[in-house]
Amino acid sequence: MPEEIFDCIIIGGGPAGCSAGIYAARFGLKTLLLSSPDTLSQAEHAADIENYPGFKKIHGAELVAKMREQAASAGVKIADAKATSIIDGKLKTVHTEGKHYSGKSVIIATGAAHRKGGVPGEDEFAGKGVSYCAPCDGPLFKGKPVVVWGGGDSALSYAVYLQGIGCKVTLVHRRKDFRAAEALVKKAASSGVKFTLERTVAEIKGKKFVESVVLDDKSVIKVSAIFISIGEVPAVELARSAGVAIDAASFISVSPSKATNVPGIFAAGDVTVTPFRQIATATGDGTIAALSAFKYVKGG
Amino acid sequence: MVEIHILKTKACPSCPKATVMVRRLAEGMKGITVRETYVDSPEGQKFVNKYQVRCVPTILVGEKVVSVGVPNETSLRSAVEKALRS
Repeated sequence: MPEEIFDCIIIGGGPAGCSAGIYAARFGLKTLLLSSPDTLSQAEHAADIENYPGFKKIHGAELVAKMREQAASAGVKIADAKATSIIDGKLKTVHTEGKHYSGKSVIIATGAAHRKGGVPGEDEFAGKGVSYCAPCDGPLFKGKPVVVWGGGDSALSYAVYLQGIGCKVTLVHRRKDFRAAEALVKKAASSGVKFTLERTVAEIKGKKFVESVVLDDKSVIKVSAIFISIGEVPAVELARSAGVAIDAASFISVSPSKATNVPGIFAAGDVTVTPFRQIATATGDGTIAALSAFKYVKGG
Repeated sequence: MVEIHILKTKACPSCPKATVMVRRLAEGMKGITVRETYVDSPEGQKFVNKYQVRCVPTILVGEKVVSVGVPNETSLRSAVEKALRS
């Protein structure tokens, strides 16, 4: 049986990958989307999303599920498989564990993983009160004191969500000002979230489960859980395997058309150099990458 | 009969995958029942307190917590087989 050749192989099942898939398929490209079964997009960890057009309020996991459903309806073949390497050539070969796929173009939309705090106790209490996903684990701590660590949109939305379901939230942030949208900061303040600013977490302590968080000024906050949301680390190992250029901060360098330095390989979303990392910007990136891939494949 | 009980939340993106795994495991073995509880519910909160659940998905076989977080199918299967033998 002859090998199946795709016009476009998209790696990553988050907003950028799904958006790229919808556009690529609708433009008539035979499209495969590889979504790693053991990696979740940042959007899937998001609490209530209130800034994505068309949805007044929606959980991140629900939004991404809808995007995947729409991509599949558009004709994208979706495979739950982790891509392990990309070999560049006339055709691009994407290897997964046990299989390989050939494509005329590739869009890397591997996103970013949550950044770890790197403090004592973090690994020891993972799953025992240390969490990186408030909508997932938050309901386990209703009525209990928790810390949210971070100052971006994600951290503030975690704080608002947790306070809203009945947790007593203290938000710890290293600066006086926030990177988060002002609307979110105001919402957190008005909902009763306590702000501990210009402080950072130094240690997470407990016996069997998390019992307290020690700050850099040695003060102690007694809590049942800590939700860490202090940024992200781009997933660029796959891009490196294909010789794609990575910048000094470890993000993929792309042109305005989302082309990388390797012809036929494009990149979109949180894994790329971009001033903003939002779901709406990721879907926009995916769209541009898909249209550029279409132009590349059709020789435009 | 041995019960596999999966505790999950509605917004947990790993939980649907874990649920599919548990159902698939149960289909291929005799003497297994599957129970699924959303811990967001008042009934679910009882299990949170009883089993000191701190992360979802959490999977119990009988009364024992055998998996916390994204489950490993091989170790989950061996925990179920062990419970069936006893």
